[in-house]
Amino acid sequence: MAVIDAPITPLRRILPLAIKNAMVSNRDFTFEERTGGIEAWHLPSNGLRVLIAPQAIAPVATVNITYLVGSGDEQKGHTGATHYLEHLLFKGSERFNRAAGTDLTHLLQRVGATINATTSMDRTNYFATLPVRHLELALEIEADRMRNAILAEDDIEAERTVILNELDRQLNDPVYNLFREVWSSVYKKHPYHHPVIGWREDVTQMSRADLKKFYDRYYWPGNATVTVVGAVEADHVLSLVSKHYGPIPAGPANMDRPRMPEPRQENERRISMPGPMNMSVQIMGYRVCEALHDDAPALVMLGRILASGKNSRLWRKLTDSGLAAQVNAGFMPLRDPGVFSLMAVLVPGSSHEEVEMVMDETISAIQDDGPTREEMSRAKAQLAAQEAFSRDGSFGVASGLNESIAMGSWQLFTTGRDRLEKVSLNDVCRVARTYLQVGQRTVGLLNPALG
Amino acid sequence: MTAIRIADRVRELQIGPCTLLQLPVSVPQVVRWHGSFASNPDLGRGEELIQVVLASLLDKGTCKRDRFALSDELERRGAAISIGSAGVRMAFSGRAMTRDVPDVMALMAEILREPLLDEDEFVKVKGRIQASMEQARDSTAVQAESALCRRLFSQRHPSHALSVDDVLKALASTSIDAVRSYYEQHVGANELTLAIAGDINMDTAEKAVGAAFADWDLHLVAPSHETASAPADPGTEHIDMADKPALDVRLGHAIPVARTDPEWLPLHIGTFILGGNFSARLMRHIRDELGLTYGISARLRGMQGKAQGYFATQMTLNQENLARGINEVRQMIQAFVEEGCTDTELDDTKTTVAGAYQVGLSTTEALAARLHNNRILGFTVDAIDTYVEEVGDLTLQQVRDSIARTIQPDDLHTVIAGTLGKDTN
Repeated sequence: MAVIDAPITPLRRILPLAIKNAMVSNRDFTFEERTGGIEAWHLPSNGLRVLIAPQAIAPVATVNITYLVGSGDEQKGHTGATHYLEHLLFKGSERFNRAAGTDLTHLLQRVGATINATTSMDRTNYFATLPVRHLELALEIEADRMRNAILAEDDIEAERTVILNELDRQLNDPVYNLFREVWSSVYKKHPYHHPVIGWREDVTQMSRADLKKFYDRYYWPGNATVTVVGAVEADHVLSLVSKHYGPIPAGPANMDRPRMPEPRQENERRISMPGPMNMSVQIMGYRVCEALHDDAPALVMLGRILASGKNSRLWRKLTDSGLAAQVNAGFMPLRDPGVFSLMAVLVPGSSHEEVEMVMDETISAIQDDGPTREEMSRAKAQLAAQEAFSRDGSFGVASGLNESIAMGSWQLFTTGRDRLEKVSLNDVCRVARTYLQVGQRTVGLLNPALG
Repeated sequence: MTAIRIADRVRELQIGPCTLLQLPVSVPQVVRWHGSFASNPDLGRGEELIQVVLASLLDKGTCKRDRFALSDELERRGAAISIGSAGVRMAFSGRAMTRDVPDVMALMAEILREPLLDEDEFVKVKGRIQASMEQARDSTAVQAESALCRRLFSQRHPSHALSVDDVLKALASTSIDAVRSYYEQHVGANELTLAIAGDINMDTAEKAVGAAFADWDLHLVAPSHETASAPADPGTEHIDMADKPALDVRLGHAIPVARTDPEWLPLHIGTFILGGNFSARLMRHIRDELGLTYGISARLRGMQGKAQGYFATQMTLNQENLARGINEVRQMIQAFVEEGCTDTELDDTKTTVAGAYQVGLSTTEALAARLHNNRILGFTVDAIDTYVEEVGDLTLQQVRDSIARTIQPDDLHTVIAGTLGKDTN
């Protein structure tokens, strides 16, 4: 039987340690800019960036730390290291660990925090949304595990089974498997080829030395942004950040990222996978541009016009016509050139040939004639409302900033709507012609007939 | 404890048949709402499936507008409306920018009160439900949970779940006439409850809701569902599925407790101590110490209104860890019932629940949902604030007694869904 076997260390026993370590003050921060309700600050001594967004909905705050490291920074043989580390950072750091009675998960959940972490292709983030009076606890824990994670051998072994179970859970999902195969086919050289969780053989063989090396390369203030959103005042946040992150030294100047450029795709690639009974799915993935590229907003708009809402083109032609149960289209903005994908879940009895033909005709029509003014107006209204609703709650704002940081600029969160407003009818037509080419796409089919 | 009382800012009104709860929240331009009414399907006659079809059909056109015009009204405002079947009720929710609330509320009423129920759309909706059921057939989580519910509840109970094959069979024999007839008999303003939260003037909201629902008629169908469980004998059920290396496992049994019973709170807190979060006993031992699973939890489920629910744990296991994982969980539940929780665990859980409650109410979406849900359970507006105080007042003996009285290890059913190895077959 498991019990919580160690008494919880009162917070007052933890805090004085940190106070003794304080080396910098608010004066040491450099103010960068204020836009869209967000303040950006920089700590020159170690390169840490801090984003603060005061918001007075409830006495709650979200602390999010974004590290610019993801599966896009992994090499074959060591895939899954980013995600593995994300798990291990919950196992304990020098000051926050179970043996000392200061297990970080327990300390945070005890005060009602919602905590978790996620790994993606360009970033890893750790977050806590908690009553604002406990803000310091979250910052203190994040600061400690930035450089002082324990990475114990027995934790690594126990977590290996957990991660393999997570990997098996993903493999249970045939649509996920199809997406993964399409992505691995789109990218032959670039590390986006690898699944975020890693290849099974790499996860199985991952050693402590591999993980420590990865940790020591990427977990530094200069590769991180701390975001605090909620019922907070900037001065107070900066004083806490300076107290806990100030003493951490700057990391290596060069992170030595293994991001190989992907050669231009010249011919269509096709993948067919056996699917479960009566479950057919079609994905078409086109390699496009990176999130900061000038064409990115037009691609976002194109996705809306194709498949967002019942008046979108693919919804009318595939879902409303009874060929598909579900249809999606969209641009996944990434730091390096990403993918624009179309997906349809077929209604039993529909054929892949028929669905593909409709998708092709729909793309051709928008390449030839562009969208209508009504379509553009509707898409812009939807995106404006989406932006307003994304600010409902501290987590929504922190989450939006996290993704923008990963794409290469936190300002995308505040300027994104302006960029979208500037997209013209011609822009959408042009990006459809430029990127949605047959030779640049990968088609994936989940087909029960192959089972 | 919440520092500022939310209930003091809530205005409650009766507008015709509609109970309206309004809460101003300072998120610029954002307004959200949650609502529902009692539809009272005859679950024993399979009317819930007809209700599911109806819910999908309602926004596919009204007597005034076809499906595209209706959708255009929403999309050009960036607004959204959702309608769903929620057991013995039908639920609806929406979001809109402040300036658009009166127009979108009027659309909401038009969809609910004047639907077209077109036959061509009905055929398409059936196709989409069929496709979603095929996806459900492929989900280990759905298969395990629904099999457990079939073992614990009769078809007349809201927590019963039909098998995929039974749904498809019933769907094939459902006609548009049956859906239209169901609409005529079961859709109306019975127990109509609506909660609105966000950046909106209270008088504006009152006027919009009044115009939408003040003169909506009631229907005449009384509730007919069962509220008690009807469990089969405890046993183990295997659901063999191809290409599913991660097995979904449920251990659970029915409990004679509804959400509105005084027993619910101590039992909920006790269950939380066992498996409510990452720090709970199950997660710490089964995942952290033994590394057997990615995730494990224990929850009270299936409590709709006065209907009694069930206690269940859920986890995923690889084939090689299956027997050991199940055995460990059974031992932990047994020990938990025999020994109870500790003072420290209860104190920690009280602070966890208090903080998490505050965090959970930090969006307009969550506030509207909570106000609505509390009201349909029959709680007063104050309940949104007093919940944390009630948790704080619980004693160790109350929680221990509730666990010992209600959780019965010998009554646990086991359901396993996934690709079974030789040993598990």
